[in-house]
Amino acid sequence: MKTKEEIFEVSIPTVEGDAIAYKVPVKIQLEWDDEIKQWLIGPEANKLIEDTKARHLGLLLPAQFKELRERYGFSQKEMGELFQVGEKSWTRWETGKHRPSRSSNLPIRALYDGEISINYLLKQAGKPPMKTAEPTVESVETHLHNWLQTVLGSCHLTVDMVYPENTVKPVLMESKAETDENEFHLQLAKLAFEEHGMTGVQEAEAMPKPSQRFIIAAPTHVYKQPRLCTQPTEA
Amino acid sequence: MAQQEIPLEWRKTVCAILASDDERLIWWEPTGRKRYDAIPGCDWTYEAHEAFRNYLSLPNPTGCHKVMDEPPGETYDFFFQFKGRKFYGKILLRTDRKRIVIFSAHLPEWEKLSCEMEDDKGKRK
Repeated sequence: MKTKEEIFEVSIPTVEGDAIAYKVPVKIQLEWDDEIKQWLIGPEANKLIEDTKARHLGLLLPAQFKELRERYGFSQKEMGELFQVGEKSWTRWETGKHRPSRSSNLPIRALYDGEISINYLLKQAGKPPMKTAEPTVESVETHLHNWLQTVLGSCHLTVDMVYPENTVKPVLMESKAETDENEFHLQLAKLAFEEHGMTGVQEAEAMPKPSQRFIIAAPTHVYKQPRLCTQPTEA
Repeated sequence: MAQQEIPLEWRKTVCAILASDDERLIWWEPTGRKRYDAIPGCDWTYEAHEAFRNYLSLPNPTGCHKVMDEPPGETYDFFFQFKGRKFYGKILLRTDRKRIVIFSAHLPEWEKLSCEMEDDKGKRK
């Protein structure tokens, strides 16, 4: 199928929703339709447009809804009950069929960002509190990876927890990003790495000793801010 | 020619596609998509899909049959209500009758649809 790239200026509305606050250029792919002799916008390009708008509105993306639910091991029905929005709405948000309103999104975003606790919400819903499990290295790494993938989502940033031989120091892998927005996200990830003395690709002499183990950890909340925390431990 | 009732079969097929939740069946013409996006309150395409369905599910919705060499398929344009405002819509039902292309979903540029304007031109002659 013939395709071409085009810049689509995504309109971001004001908080009141009655005007356009600013526009964000996004590179989308149009597909040529031979039968009707037209370039068309298909589902993938449309998703990119709508995800960009959602991110700029501060709305959680579908993958983030799922990630939040899985963080607590809840069903869609339970999440619908927790936020008093119903299972149907939650499922639609999680699958991307619908988007939440800003007001519905607010408490969900607050939980996602760690600004309110799950037990506070459970209490409000008249449910017993959860026992929070201690995070494991695996769970933190998974969360971190998911976080980068979802926050940086549409920029196709490839972040991989690579531990080169004889070290376990993570390396930030290359980015396929090309647009300004994606470049911004890439810089964000690089900054986070560099803050902890880790550049995108580590120099050999800067590698830690083989016996040293680096754990990517998030002491307070891995989702709270774009910051990676590393701590050396013994292997 | 005045607006005519949009044929039930066309409406049923289009509504079924719009209700299918299968994004692969609903495509947008780029200019139409941009115009929709540029209107405050038109944030998500599923809202336009729902508004289309609401209008086309009314007992006797009217519109104009667009006669074009291309694209092949059956196209109607019509006015519909979107969040309390009058909108202009134009949808192509493709020849396979399984997919649609949305050409327009925006505030109307004209008071009348294309077929009504052709009618006016005819009267002036």
